[in-house]
Amino acid sequence: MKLLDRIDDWMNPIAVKELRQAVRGKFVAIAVLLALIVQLIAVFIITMSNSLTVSPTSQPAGPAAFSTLFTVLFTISIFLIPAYSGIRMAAERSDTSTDLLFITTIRPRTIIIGKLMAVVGLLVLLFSASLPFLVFSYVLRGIDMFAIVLLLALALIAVVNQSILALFIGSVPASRPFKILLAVGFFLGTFLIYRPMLEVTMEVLRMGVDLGILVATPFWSALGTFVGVLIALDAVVVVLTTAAISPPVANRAFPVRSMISVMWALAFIGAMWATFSTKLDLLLSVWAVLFLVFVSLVLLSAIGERETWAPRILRTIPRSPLLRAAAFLFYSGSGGGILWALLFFAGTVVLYYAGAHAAPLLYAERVPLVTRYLADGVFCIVGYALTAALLRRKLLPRIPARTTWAVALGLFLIGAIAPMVIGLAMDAETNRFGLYANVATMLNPFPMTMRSAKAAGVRTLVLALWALAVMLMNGAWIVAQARRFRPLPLQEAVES
Amino acid sequence: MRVDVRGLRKEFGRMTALDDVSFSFGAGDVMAFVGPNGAGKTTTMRILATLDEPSAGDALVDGLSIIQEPEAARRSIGFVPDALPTHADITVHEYLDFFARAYGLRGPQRKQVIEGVEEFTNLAGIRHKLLKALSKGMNQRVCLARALLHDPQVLILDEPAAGLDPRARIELRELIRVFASQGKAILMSSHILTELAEICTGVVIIEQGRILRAGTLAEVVNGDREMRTLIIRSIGRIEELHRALLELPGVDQVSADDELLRVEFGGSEEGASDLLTELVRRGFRIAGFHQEAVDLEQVFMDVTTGGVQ
Repeated sequence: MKLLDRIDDWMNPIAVKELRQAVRGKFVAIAVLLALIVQLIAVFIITMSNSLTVSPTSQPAGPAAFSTLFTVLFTISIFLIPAYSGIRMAAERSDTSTDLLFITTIRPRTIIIGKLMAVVGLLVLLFSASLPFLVFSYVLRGIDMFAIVLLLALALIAVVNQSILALFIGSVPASRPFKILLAVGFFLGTFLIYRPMLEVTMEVLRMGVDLGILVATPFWSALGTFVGVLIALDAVVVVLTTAAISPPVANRAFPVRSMISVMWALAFIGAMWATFSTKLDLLLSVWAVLFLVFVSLVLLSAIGERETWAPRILRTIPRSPLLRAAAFLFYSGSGGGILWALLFFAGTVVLYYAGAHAAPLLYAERVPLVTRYLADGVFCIVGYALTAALLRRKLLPRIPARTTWAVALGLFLIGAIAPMVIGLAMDAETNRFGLYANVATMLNPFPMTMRSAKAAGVRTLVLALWALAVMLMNGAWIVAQARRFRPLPLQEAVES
Repeated sequence: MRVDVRGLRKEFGRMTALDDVSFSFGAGDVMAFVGPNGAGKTTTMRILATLDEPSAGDALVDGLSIIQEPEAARRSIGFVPDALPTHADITVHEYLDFFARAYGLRGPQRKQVIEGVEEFTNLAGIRHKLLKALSKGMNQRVCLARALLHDPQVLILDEPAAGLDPRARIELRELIRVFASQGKAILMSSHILTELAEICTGVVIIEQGRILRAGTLAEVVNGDREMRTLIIRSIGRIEELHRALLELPGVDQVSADDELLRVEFGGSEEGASDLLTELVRRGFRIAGFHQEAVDLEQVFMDVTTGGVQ
């Protein structure tokens, strides 16, 4: 077989299809043409103005030309390509296209990877179409090749990152209005990357890039850490997207919980290394807060997950009691998800405290306070989530289980936000306000308005007792699920 | 090749979409799957195609459980849903090539299979046309072609004739006949019962998630009906025969129409046979004796109530 045929066989089918559709569609053609036309006009204007104003003392026109061309290219790339990918994903999710793929040998993971490959393919197409113009800016002098490569690489990372998020939003199984809301948020969020990226570009072009200085500074380690963290976060989003497009009967939670577990452990090792190196607990704190957020999301999702398992999942439950117990934590399911979250909540707070305690920190006195904040956050999220689960089962049985997270959010608004809003409406200058603030923020771990250690201690105690109480009240429900979590009996499996 | 559906049950929250659905069909069969909208046809077909999972029950495709071994079972299944392809900017050939890749076909085999399927489904002439430029009938053909790429032995077709013009429907019917003659087991839903009756060998009637009738076309149409109309032609002694019939058990009504007698008979097929034996025994010269044909539409109207879930 010829090499080209082998490569053709090796290609991801989704990537092949996406690229075929993209090059034939109007959207991509318009994006490429738009980029080329605007860049052509920009080059023309720059050339004309350069030829009119050129003198022995004038500055080289390279940086100005590059920044203009780069801005055009980056603007089109970061706004159009993620939007194109996200809209296509959303459209495919709303019809049977994705469904049909699940009766082939294709896996959900292959679909997402294929779509990402297509994004990279489109970017390569767009960037390579703009390459002659960028080379032109190099010819105008005043800009080094390394700066060009560095900025293009950063732009590529930014667009791929945004496309990953866009694919996730497109895949979320939500109503159209909710998706539109997410898309608007995403569009506005793009500016959080867009503006800093252009500022970095201007700075790099103004200062230039001296490789010698870069080697002598922690530039590479900082860049490596940034890219590493970004890739890790993107990996989580890719796993979430894969779970979102998996058939409802699939064990969707398994890859998500596994991925977060592995990253949790690896990131802790990295954070500890940084803590020992810098004698600061900054990265360890970031690790703890970041993973408490991830685990909280898992918990909010878990309280609305299934309580029974269909045969296709039951057949994969390990028969060994130990493995079965581990599988219960990682498989899709409400009880297992809650236990997994409780385990990782406890692990994160304990490891933060133990890690910070073991390291020779410059500001070790902060550690108990940070630990208390983390614990307050954990108690609070557990309290709201498990109260919501309890309420939904006992008092609101008509509400679909999968929307239990909304009940938790509603409780949070009532218990944490409303008292503060009422407090603001009250006269803050009165003597009673201090007491009110302490009471009003009792079920909210975020405001740090506690005026005394005693008041803070009372809040921690109240939150801990609340979390413990709802854990106990949900205990029987979780245990019942654990008892149901058994593999298909061998006889039935054989008969089937 | 045999498909055995065993006690399928599917619940969506508090709603039971399927309740103890069981039937079977085999190689060369064209099983019509009929029922009012919302009866559970698509749910059953999606479960058989391994896209959904039943709450209880199972289905065996050539002995492979769709629950225990869905990956192996789906290799034998070709599924055509009731929706047409939505990939606008792609040609027929590219669309088939995409699914052939998705089915894991590689190298020259892939090209060979696609070309074969294109020829078979009469798509070779339009292989470079964009899907969005095709008529509904042609798009339906593309769907069928896609389902054939991995040479499945079971075809599950959900409303394949919906919205097709008469010519496209006739072509589709011919294609299904060819599939059946190749030994494929076919389950097909449709609301056009007269057309189904022309090609199907078996019928499953479902309503509100429950099977009302299932069996061969003859079994379902003539099966355990309470009343059947017998047409009897006798040589002479018409009046006497008329009176005699009214005395026989099971005969409800007799009306004369020239030399023919129309007998409303409340009994099984065996009972009708016994009636004929008795008439001959009594010396009547019976020149013609047959049951009035009942079509699928009539059976459908008789057994369904039009209720939805």
